[in-house]
Amino acid sequence: MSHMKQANTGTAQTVPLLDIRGLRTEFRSDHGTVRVLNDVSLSVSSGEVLGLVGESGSGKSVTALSLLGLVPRPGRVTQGQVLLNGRDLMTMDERALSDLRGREVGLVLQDAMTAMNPVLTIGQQICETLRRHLGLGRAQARRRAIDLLDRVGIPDPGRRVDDYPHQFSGGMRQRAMIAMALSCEPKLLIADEPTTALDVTIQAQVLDLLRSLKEEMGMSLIMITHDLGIIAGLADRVAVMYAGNIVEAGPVRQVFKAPVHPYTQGLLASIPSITDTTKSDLQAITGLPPDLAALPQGCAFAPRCPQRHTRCETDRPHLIHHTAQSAAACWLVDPPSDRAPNSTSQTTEPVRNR
Amino acid sequence: MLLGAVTLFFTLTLVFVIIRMVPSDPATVLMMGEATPEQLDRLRELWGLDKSIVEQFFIYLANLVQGNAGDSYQFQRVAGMPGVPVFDLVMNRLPATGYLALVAIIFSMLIALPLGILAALFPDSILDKLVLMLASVLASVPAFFSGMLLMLFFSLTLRILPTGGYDTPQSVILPALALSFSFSAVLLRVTRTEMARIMRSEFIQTVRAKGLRSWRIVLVHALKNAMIPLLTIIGLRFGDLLAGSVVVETLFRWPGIGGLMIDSIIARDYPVVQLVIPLAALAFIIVNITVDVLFGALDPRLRTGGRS
Repeated sequence: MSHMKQANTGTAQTVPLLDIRGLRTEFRSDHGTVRVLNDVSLSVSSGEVLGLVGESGSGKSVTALSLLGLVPRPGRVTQGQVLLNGRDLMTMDERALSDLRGREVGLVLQDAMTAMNPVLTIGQQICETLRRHLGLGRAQARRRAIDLLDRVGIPDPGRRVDDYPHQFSGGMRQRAMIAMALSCEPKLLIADEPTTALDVTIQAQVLDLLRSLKEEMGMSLIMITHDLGIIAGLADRVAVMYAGNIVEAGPVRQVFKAPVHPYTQGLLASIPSITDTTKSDLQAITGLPPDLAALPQGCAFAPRCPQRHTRCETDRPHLIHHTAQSAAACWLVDPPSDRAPNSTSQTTEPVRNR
Repeated sequence: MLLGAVTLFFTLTLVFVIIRMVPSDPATVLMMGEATPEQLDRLRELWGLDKSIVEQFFIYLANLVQGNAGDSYQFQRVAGMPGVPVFDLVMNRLPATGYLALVAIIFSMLIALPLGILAALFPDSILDKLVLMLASVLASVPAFFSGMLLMLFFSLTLRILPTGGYDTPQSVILPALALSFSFSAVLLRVTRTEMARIMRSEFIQTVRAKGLRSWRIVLVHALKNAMIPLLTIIGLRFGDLLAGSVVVETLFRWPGIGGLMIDSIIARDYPVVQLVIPLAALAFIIVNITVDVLFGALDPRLRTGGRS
């Protein structure tokens, strides 16, 4: 796997590995339809790490599940495209999708205790993926599982392979979960809050592991988190979600240094600092996350936005590029002069490296 | 184990006292009013029923501990003469009931598991509602009625299965089916609820994200987790099965202990009653201990002595 080199440099990629366009996911119930994802467009190049941030309920996890076709009932992806290497996953049948899950896209969930089957051994749970996708025999799969556990830093893997999830510590379980997701060397790994359930030292170890495995295997990574520190340390690009929409996206350095969307500005301002003495009080974004069943007509962030004006309350802003690599969905953003803010054509335009 | 022993002793005592509180005693029932009061007294003296109830109880316990459950009152060649030992009588009948219960459990699982799983996979669908409706029907039709319907249909109309008896291998089918209906209703509901709950759990999402085939997700990952509550229910409801066997065995002339139980109670055959009912309690206790042991095999979290 040597194709990872070019990504970090941010040079041109004609076809991104993953290209999500205008993804919309709705949950229908007797009480009405809740649009959990409104219009999500994202792209990830080979070898790139994309950080997906946002508060609880902003749609980060649903984005991950939607692109794998795993949205739980009564949720449904109602529109949009998910192109993986140019193939649209949304038009695939369940069988073709299942061939792809675990083989080309791996998923790591937050709490490995609830994310693993409690009544099967760690080894059985790794082996079944290997046998399903790579057609390995029983003994081969087991040898490979032990290798994988060794690679993610489980001590004495030959013995621990027969342990059950509850016999592992939290950090080891998460490592095993990573081993499971990476067993078939997928091109893309989606890690949904992989370190949230862990304490800080273990968290750092798991992040280091993810970083080195990513380099080693040359895969792309979507890191879903609400921890901006993790994004700063790991991601190449960041996409900020709010109420089912991407509100800002761009290279991490640029977004963190000069956030454009007031929500991103608020998020960054709310990080406590121990070095910056001018910032003594903890800043917070006022108000509460919006009720997805009753979104305002205009910008979803408007009720909490310190910079809102009349237009924000009536018209919903779309993602508009303000530099070649960055975009934001806010009426404050001035598009570059050569780019007209024609919103309808911009909605499905993915944000990607150019 | 200790709890089992206490339960067993409690059952022994309760059965002993209650059967003696029922109006009319063995002597009058057995002689059917054809004996003089003196003859009846002699019979009671012979059986030790003239002693106080406490005295009788200790004699019963002492004999039982030595493996002597006494002789049956009603199965005697000549009135007052030593009859058939109760122990032999019960042991002759026990295998038939065990066999019937086992086949009934297997039938119940064959009915409940596939339907319950299907309903759980499509919650709130028409199929789901039909299955739950079937469960209500199965639960509310009493065994003697479903037994007669089965007999009517399979034995009298289709003429493919015998109406009763124990002679042919097919004989077990109808009584086991009749016995399994209400049991399978319980299993069906539990399967449906548990499978639906498990299919919504997070690890199923992981398993699906690994791209496993649906049958493997359902039959290996979900069902193995559902077996734990299912086993609990089978243990808890095993008593219902024994109770049902009383009716079903009588209806189908099945030579098990259910029929013996009824006959001996009607005849006030104290020694038989005093062995058969505690034995049923013992079977219930043994089944539940077995279930506890099986838990360990099914759920690694319950195993002791594992590495932490």
